[in-house]
Amino acid sequence: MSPVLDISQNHFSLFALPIQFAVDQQALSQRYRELQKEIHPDRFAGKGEREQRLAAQFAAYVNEAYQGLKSPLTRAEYLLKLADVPVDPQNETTNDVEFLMEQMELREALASLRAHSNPEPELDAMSQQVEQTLQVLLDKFEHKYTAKDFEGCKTCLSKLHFVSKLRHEIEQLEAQLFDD
Amino acid sequence: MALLQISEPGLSPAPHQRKRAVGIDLGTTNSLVATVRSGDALTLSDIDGLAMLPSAVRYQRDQSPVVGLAAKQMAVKDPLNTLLSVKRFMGRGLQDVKTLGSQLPYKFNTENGGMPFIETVAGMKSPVEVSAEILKTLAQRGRDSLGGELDGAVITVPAYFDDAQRQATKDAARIANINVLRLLNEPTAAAVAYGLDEAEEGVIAIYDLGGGTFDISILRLSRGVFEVMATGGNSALGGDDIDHVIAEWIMATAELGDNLEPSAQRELLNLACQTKETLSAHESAELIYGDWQGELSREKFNELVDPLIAQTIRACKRTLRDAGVSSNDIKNVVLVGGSTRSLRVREQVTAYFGREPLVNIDPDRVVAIGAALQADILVGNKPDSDLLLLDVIPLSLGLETMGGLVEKVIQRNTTIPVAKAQEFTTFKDGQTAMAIHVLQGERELVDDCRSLARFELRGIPPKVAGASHIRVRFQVDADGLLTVEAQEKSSGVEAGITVKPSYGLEDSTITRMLKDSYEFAKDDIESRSLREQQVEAERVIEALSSALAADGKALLSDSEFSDLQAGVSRLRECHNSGSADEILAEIERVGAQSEAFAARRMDVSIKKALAGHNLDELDQ
Repeated sequence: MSPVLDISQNHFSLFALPIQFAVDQQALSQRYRELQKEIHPDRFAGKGEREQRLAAQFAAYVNEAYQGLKSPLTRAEYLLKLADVPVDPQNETTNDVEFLMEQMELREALASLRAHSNPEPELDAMSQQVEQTLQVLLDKFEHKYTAKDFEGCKTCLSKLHFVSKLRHEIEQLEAQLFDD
Repeated sequence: MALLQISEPGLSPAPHQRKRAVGIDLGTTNSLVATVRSGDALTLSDIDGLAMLPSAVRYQRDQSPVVGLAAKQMAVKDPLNTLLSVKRFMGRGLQDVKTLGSQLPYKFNTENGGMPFIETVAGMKSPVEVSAEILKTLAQRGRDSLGGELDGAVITVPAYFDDAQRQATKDAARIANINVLRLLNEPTAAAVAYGLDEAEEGVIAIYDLGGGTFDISILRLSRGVFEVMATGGNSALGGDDIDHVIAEWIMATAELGDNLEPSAQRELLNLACQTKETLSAHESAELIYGDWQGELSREKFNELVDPLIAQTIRACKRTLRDAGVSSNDIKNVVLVGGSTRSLRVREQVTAYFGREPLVNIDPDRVVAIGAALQADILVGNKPDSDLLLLDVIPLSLGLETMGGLVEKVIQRNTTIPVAKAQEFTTFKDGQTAMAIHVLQGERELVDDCRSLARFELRGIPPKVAGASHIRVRFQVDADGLLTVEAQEKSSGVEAGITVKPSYGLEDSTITRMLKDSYEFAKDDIESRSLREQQVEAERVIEALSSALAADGKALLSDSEFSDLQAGVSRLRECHNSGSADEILAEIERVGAQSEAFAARRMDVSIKKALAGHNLDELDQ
């Protein structure tokens, strides 16, 4: 018996989910575990090399698809890909001056926190603000996606990239400040 | 129907022909082998009834080596031929081994391209061969117990082992002629031992403090699936360090001075270790060392070891964050490793996680037991089992890019098996080969990460810079082992390797690298922007030089030509010695200077393109 997986279907159908932005995380991870139980190489440990290799490829494919759907940002990107809307995350910018100014200020504030004697409360506050901004943008994305406003989606996505990068920097600073 | 069951005597297939499988915990100081019998996993003992096999091998002239306790007992008498703790050298280079300390009594041979071979009376021995001797002894114990050849084994490795160390372990198994069903991470094995026992659901933490390493893993258990969410640790921290701080305290209190003989040092460490054990049961310990007599209270002991335990707790915090959970989400904490017998360790772990850790399986045996359970399933003895382990890679994998930077291809804590590809373009006009340098670690600069392998993709069709696309594909299998392939897309030219270095990464280096990646994040950003400007400068120099060589004489006056040439050499100089800002300024200056030249080249190429076409054509 060889491992079998239909990789021609899109990631949403692979996980038996509707093609939409909102994802039932519990259903997603449950289906993920079911899929891995079917195709993980450990299930074919006694079989030949070909079965093993195939299973490893399928398991890797399922892992990637799962991670892609789990995170809202990659899920948003994938939805646009399915809608044939080209997105180049490397070369995206936004013309929203107000948004850019706000981002710049947050970044400067973050930089100044490095030298702060007790940065924890402000870092927490900033972290919350960033989470909120992300949530607002994700809601907006969902709204525009439902309305099939793909240009609007692209704008949201590039803003999401900005903000999630900032979140990453906050996490890094937190790690640095509180680990040692 | 009965007719169908008739068969020749001796040919009748047993309905449940169980296969022979074992789990092996190949440890730094002790190793164990376990198997599943009538549904229960148990460790296998030698004829003296001892389950733990000291990881010691003594080589003798013209005789087969002695493994285990008998070897360990000869360590003081025959130190050069009695090899202990070789796990620390697995997958390492000679240079790494040297930094492990000068107190190693072995004679390392330097003539093997950096591989740390040890000279013994039986010839040169690599750590892989020494480990193979230990594995052979354990496999024999398995055969004796199960009554025949083994069908396969699961061998455990620290979660923090990198690719080189895993490869070395697998090589040792091959030398020992063992069919490896899977390399399994030690904490994951411990989770299996507990999870199957308790039919757990939810998030659990495995706190694994051994003699020389510390691992922390966070797993989610759900209907037989063990999903590792994050793993972390400090691979240069263990029970040995507790002994060392006690020994130091004795030295200071007894005013012994710093220059002890190696034998006296060993004696002192033994005393420290005994004291540690006494204090887990008593409020204070009496010490006698030579003429000196003293007492160590539990309170003072706690004060001495707390900084060490605090380091493990910090690693726990970081790993919880990587897993995206808080300590409240942890349903159970499992203790693994002999050093978790220490009362203070248990107190601190209890305090941090806010719950009593599970200790109902012997922390010395729990890893081997988990490995045996997994081996039983993988070999096919339990076809209906729901058990599935989804493990992660402990350290990010990446490639060297221009300017000595590392581009991460697979992030740490990514579930395996995993396959990812990254595309790169050629850097120079006419480039026909590309060097691929594979690295492991969290830092941004090549020099701060561990080099795993290098290879070259040759035969790229020559094109202008940036026109050829090279796709580099990383594949990590379920054992955590890496394969890398590179392919040029238009021609299909291919090159690939199973990453198989002659030696790998030192544990303390991994720890340092991880720690540094947090401490030096800022430095990295600065050096990153410098490298980026340097790369940009190189690109400008390359482009301008080839343009000058091609059309410079034709399109520029003599003075324009020499001015631009001077501009290029100024940029080259600045590239070598300037800061990021200075290089950027120089790039802009040369850019402005070459504008007219660029415009004239553009005109010429447009004229060339238009030549031979008439206006009608263009209108269409």
